[in-house]
Amino acid sequence: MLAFLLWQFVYTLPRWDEKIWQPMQKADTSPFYAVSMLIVFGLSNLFHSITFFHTLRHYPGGATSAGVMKGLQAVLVFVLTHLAYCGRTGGEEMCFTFGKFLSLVTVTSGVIGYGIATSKHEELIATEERDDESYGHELDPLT
Amino acid sequence: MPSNVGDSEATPSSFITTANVSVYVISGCTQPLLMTLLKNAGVANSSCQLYMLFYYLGPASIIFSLHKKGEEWPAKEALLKATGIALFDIVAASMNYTGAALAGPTIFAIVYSSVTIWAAIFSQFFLARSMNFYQWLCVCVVFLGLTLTTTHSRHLGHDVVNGLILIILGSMMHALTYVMCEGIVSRIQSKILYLCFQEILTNLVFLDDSRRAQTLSETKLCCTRNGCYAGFSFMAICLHTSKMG
Repeated sequence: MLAFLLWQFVYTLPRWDEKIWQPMQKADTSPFYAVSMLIVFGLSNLFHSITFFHTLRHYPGGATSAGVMKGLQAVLVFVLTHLAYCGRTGGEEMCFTFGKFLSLVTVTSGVIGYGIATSKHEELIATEERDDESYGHELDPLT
Repeated sequence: MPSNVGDSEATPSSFITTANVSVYVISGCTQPLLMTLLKNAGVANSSCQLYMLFYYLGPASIIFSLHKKGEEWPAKEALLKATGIALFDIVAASMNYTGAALAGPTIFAIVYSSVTIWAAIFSQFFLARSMNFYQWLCVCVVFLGLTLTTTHSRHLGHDVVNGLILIILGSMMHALTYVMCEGIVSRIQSKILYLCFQEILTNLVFLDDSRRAQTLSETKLCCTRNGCYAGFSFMAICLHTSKMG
């Protein structure tokens, strides 16, 4: 954050009018709205970071859960973008297309599938290690 | 991914855990959508990176809560390592959100969800992990999806293509952050990671170029070009060090 703060003093402030203020005027954006959106953006990341560590620590499922959550986020963004922005802002990139849907399904399936495969792989390793330990106890006449 | 598990901490109720997961998913969804709003509002200039200041302001404020509670600060070595990883992730996050502003939240969401797969691939090189057949199959499926995304995005304009490239490279770098966390904690090949840091930081010349750019489009081009150069330098190091073994 300090690096970005320094950058704002070194680069952004000397060019404030050209880089920030004029585009805001062109977009008819009030300072209150701009600051509000930036604060909401920051708070969103704050909550995302806090809940990430809590989820990592307490939510069961490991890699499978992580994959499912990533896929769920992608699907939700896909749907919300089409509902909120398609035809209202931006260009064709905001709208649902079959090609994008196919890409989404493929990537999400791969991520969730990877999570499931990883969980099963870890279970198999844990089972093999338990079997090796119990076999080792059987061989040891002192235990 | 590393986690700090406290043995003495009580397990929260399922309601709290579910609520946390819900907030995690929802807040993850809002960020690319908010980037579009910021771009439309005219405050998402990629050379200024004003939005990234607010992006990191939230998590950085946690440090004040540590001071107030009188908790001990982490060890100096741990702080230095965390700072190094954080600087690397700064570059990744900047590339991701600059790319999101250019390409749109949909493409961002599709490509960014491949972070898990990139982390798995980099674990092969840096942490000597191995994947079974099914894991590799899923990696190939994800790459197929990314190829489809790239193919379908080509006709959407230069901004979208540039944004897509930035998001791919940013996702790769963000994935590497997780690997570095684990690698530095386990002290495996930390020298390689240090070389990566050096190469990335010295290639961040896009900031100088963008200052000399005359128009907004030139600025975007400079940021995209040099951000890609930094990313490719990093990839070259990965390949080189993987050969070193």
